[in-house]
Amino acid sequence: MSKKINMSRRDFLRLTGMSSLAAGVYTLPGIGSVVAQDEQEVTIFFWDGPPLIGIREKALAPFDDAYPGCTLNFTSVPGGPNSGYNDKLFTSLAAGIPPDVFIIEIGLLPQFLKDDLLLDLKPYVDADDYDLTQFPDLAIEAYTHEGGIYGMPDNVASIAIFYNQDLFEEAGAMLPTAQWDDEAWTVDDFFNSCEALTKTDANGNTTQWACDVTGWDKVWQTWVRIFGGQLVDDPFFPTECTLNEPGAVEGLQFYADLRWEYGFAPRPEAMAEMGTGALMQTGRLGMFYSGSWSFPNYREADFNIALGHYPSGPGGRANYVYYYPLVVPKTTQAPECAWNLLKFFNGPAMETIIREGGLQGTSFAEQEKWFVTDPLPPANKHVMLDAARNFVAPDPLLTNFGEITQIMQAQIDLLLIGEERDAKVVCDEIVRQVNPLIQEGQWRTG
Amino acid sequence: MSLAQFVKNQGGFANVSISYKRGETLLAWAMISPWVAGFLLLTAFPMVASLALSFYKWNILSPPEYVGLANYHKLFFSDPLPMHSLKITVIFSLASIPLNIVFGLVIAMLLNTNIRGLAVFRTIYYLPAILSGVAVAILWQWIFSSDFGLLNTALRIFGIEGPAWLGSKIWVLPAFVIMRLWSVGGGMIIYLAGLQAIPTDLYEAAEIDGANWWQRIFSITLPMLSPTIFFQLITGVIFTMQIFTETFIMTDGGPANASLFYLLYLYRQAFQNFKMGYASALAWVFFLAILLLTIILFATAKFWVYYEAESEEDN
Repeated sequence: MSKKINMSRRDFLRLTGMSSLAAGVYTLPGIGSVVAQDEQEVTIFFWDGPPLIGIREKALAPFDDAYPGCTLNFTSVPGGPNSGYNDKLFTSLAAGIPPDVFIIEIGLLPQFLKDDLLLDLKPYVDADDYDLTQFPDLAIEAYTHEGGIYGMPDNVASIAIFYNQDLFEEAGAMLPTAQWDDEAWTVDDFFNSCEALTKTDANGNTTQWACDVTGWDKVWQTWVRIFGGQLVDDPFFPTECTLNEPGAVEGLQFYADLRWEYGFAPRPEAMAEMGTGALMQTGRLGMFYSGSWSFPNYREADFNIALGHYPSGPGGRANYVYYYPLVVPKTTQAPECAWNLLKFFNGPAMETIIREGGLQGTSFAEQEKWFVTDPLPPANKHVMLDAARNFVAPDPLLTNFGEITQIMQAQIDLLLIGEERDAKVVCDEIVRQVNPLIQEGQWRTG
Repeated sequence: MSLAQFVKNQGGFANVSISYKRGETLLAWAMISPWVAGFLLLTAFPMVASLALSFYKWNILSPPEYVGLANYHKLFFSDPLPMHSLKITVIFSLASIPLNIVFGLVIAMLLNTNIRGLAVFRTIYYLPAILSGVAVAILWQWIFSSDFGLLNTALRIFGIEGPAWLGSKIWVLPAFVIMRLWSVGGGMIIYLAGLQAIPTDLYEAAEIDGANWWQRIFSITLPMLSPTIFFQLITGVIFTMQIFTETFIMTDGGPANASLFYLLYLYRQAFQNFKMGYASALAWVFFLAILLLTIILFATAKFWVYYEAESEEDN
């Protein structure tokens, strides 16, 4: 029989008070830490959501053993930059306790550089003779400022055309090329394939569409480049928006006309938020644009799915590649460990990240070894590697490119939902609204 | 036994010489101190700080820079989006608030009758009100899906080809109004409580006097329920003007800013563009607008809200 403990109200309050005090003291910085005195803790922030949850953490788990003296503290705020991650990151920065390594959107990098918040990694790169040529040139160039290097790639994520090979063959349409320097697969070839793929029933209702016309900024921007246009005069030192120049207007007009003029793409009333995936899975759509994150959706597809490049046009062949950096704040107390972590991330950890997380990877060698050789659908994964190798269109380096994108997007919406059919009108309005913001967002001179 | 006496007996303030009233006061403050501390730290201080911030340019990363009234000047004179988003928010509120009040009231009146399974019906109608905003938004995204969505599929049965609810500049606001109607259950519960508080002898007297159903509704139910309707109107204005989760999840303000509600625009400025000073100015203008609207509604209350207690005092 257990002995009953008699506790007075006062004793209870004392006990509660002491417990609360102890708990509070434990949370004070430096108290309660389990890291030994000779160890340096290095904290890394990611935004991993499904299906990546746990993968990067698992891949980085051996870091502590690989670099004795450094202890990894992995933190992830799932859901991407705008689902709580940026809030947490900026709060920690404002409080003066940022993580030692963190991922940021490429559009935020100029502001961080302008405010001189990041550690220059060049001395570490030089000291280790670290090979930067393994990464896309333009990514490293975007991370470079006044001779310093302020980031290492987190992942290189190319956008490609995903196509239903069975529908193409059935329609006798030309397949999207899997070779970057292929002279075929031009805009005209793309158009002809669209024409062959689009089917209507006896009542004139479309039963099969050729392609998707999405409002995704990286896709319409690629069509602008295919026709020889550019968002701004110089992405590294932008001074004005050039979206109303003939190439850009022609590209956007062609892109919008695929839906409104030719009926190759579903109209908004036939396309819902989940429309692309559902139309593709049910064999009613010939092709759409996406990245490696869509692979898991097509592992079990009952049709042959493959990857191809965008067509080439007056501006050549174009693409877009995401190249978000991992950066180190200047105030880190563990710069050596942070650099070691970046090396480990882009080295031993990358195999697990590519093979289990399905990411494209960072270095070309690892992409060739692990990403391209993955036997599961879709076919032609080397298309994404080619896209990364030939990537030439970085986002304009402005401190407010995110805000500029919001303004562009609202106008492009008008074109893509058919409210405005003339791309020139939309482009002129974008230029009118965006040019003052470009002046506001400039932060360095050529 | 008073609280002070109780504490004294327990030895709490045994050695402290305090008057009875002072002891009561101190104890009351001690009891509410967690809330007061929370209010001061988490509400009052951030409000004052945001008012101060509205005169600064601050991106969190670098020190704030004093800009005077520049943020307010931009808000009213050079940035077209605040007024655009305010207009959209007001249009949405003008459509949504009356519909929510009417539907909530009608359902409450239907559920204020003696029918079998009343508790089940009440639960069913109330259920949507307790669901998470994000879950509801995702659910409605599917319902509004133009090709495969429940709503357009139902319309197709009647030979109507539904629009691209969330992809159309014209239909996106009606879509949000319809969506908000789904959660009238919260208001319904309050109306139900109000309806059940109306003395039945009033209806009995009216019936003896020969009043028909409509006369009973307009002469008894609505006047007696007017304080509840007023409460629903005030909270409805505040709640509806603050629409955010639905548009953040479902449309991100699109297409072409057609669903760019004020709070979404404020959120973008604060947490996507990191213009904290400008966002603070937006927040204060919005706060003052809602405050003004609330004051106006309170001023109108004396013309249409009937308080039984006040009426008895007058008599």
